[in-house]
Amino acid sequence: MLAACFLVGLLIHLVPGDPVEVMVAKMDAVSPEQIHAIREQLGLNAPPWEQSANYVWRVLHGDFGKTIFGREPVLEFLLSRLPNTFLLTICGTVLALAIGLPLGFLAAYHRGSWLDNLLMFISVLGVSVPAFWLGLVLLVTFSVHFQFIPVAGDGPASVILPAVTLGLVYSAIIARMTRSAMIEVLTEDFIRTARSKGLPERLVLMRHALKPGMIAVVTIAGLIFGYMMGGQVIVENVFSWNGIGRVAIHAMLQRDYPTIQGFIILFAAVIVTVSLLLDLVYMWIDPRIIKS
Amino acid sequence: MSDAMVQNSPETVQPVLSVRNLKVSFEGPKGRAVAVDNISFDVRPGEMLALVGESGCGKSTVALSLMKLLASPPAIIEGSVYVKGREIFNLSKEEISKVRGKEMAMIFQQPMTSLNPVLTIERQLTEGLMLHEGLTRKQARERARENLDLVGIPSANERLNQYPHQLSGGMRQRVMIAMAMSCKPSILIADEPTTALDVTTQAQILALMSGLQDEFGISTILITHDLGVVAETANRVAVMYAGRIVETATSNDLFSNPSHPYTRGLLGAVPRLDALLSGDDMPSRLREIPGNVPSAGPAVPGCPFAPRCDRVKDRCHTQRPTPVELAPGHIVSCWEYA
Repeated sequence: MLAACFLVGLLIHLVPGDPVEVMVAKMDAVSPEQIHAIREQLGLNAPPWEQSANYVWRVLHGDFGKTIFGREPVLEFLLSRLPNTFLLTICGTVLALAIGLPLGFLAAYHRGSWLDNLLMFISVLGVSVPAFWLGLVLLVTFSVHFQFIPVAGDGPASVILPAVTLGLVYSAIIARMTRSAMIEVLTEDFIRTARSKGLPERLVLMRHALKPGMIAVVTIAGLIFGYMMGGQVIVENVFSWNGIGRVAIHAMLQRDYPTIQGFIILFAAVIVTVSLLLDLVYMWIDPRIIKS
Repeated sequence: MSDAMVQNSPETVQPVLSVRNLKVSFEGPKGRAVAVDNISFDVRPGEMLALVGESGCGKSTVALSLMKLLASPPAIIEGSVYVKGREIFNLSKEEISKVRGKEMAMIFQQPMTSLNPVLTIERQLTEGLMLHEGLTRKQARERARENLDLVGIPSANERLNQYPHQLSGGMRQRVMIAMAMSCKPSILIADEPTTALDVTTQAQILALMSGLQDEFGISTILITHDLGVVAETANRVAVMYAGRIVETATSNDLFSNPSHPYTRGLLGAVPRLDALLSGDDMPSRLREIPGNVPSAGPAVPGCPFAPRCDRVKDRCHTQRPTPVELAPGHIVSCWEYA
């Protein structure tokens, strides 16, 4: 993680321009001396590797620095936005699972039928539709036209549209994953054993097929969750959702180095946490893992 | 073929299982492939019938279609199967579920993959009992424990809480047997139950199966390619070749007087210790049957073994041989005897 942190620090400098340029672009009559002074003050005159190494050193001591624009402590600034993203991610993942799992299951069970073909056709559409387009369509339909739901804001009602957008887009992926995982499980010998015991088809599916089939689905759901936690740059922007994704995109546009680096570290931490949680879920699903 | 076999049965006891004109085919890109070609047989109460044949002769297909466990489509299953006189192929899905596990149970070839890896042994042993006999969870667990004792699994109580991966292959096959036996079915179908196990375990499992068969009077269909297994355990043998039954006899008759050229070929390919000891006209090497088992294709009009047979005549290629009873209960489908 530290190595990642150091590398990101270097890579940022590959992008032309720096925060001071962005800052002074909006002001008139700034002398080169003043610019140099600001850079000196922010430590931007040192070579990139030195800046990056210094940053890693400070992070090791728990100091994530301050944002260049606003001079707020980076960590607190990011953490204040995290709950919003977290809420959106939870709602989006739950929706994606709620839509994707049953449909994928249905498609697998009726493999090769018209229902399977129809569902998979829809899921191709779902995967290909850009999130911003879907978001805008939903926004125009429900907020502008019917005025059901507020256009933007942080209230509980305004989470609906972004969550639906994310849920729809990712449910397509989850449906496809569920379908292929379930098709594989349904050809397993133990499914035949379960049928040979005279279990009704419902029990064969719910008790014998679902749990082993979930292993692959849990993996992809975990990845999606982590990815969404990294900020839904597009969706958060379309719905003016004050999450971490918007912060990240602003920081990048303004070359706000400490914020970008802080975001990367936070993102990495989230991914690590998610994969730890995933391992726990695997253990619960698959008893073979505990042994080895 | 079917009628001859039924009428000539030496006993008049009602068979537990009667299979009539069972035909299983698969619709493929090259037309219809016939895997099981019009076979009929009976299983009498308490007997063990071995279904013997090479890989690909359709014996597992017979087993699975008896339980209606073949996915259909693609399989096309014709004919009728009577369990204690009741036809089961016309039953609805719900009704056939009540036959499976209760009247007819099955043991599979691969104990490694036939148990669900994510469910406890208890769960897998009790669900049939709770379903078919309406037991409570506690009662079912008690019965499951008894069943594990019955199949010789030590410390049954602990085993119940374990998962399949914590058991050895032999233990898993014992669990499979306990599972199949749990509702005391009338018919047990064992599809190559010992193939995946090592030799010592094989012997134990076979001993266990014949013990249970004697104790509870369960009729067993043992599907195997291993003639040694047949000689040790089965009462009667049906030899299958390319989807047909070519010879049926008691085990003793079959081994002392193999009559179909294919059966003779099979037995000739088995190493025998007694021939070695007596030393009389011992062949220097084992005989093999020339050629290969035909892959499933369209049904042949004549005898399927004709291309490999050393006594082939013209009509073997064109006419299907009619079954002939050589001795009571010893039936052969070969033009040599007609």
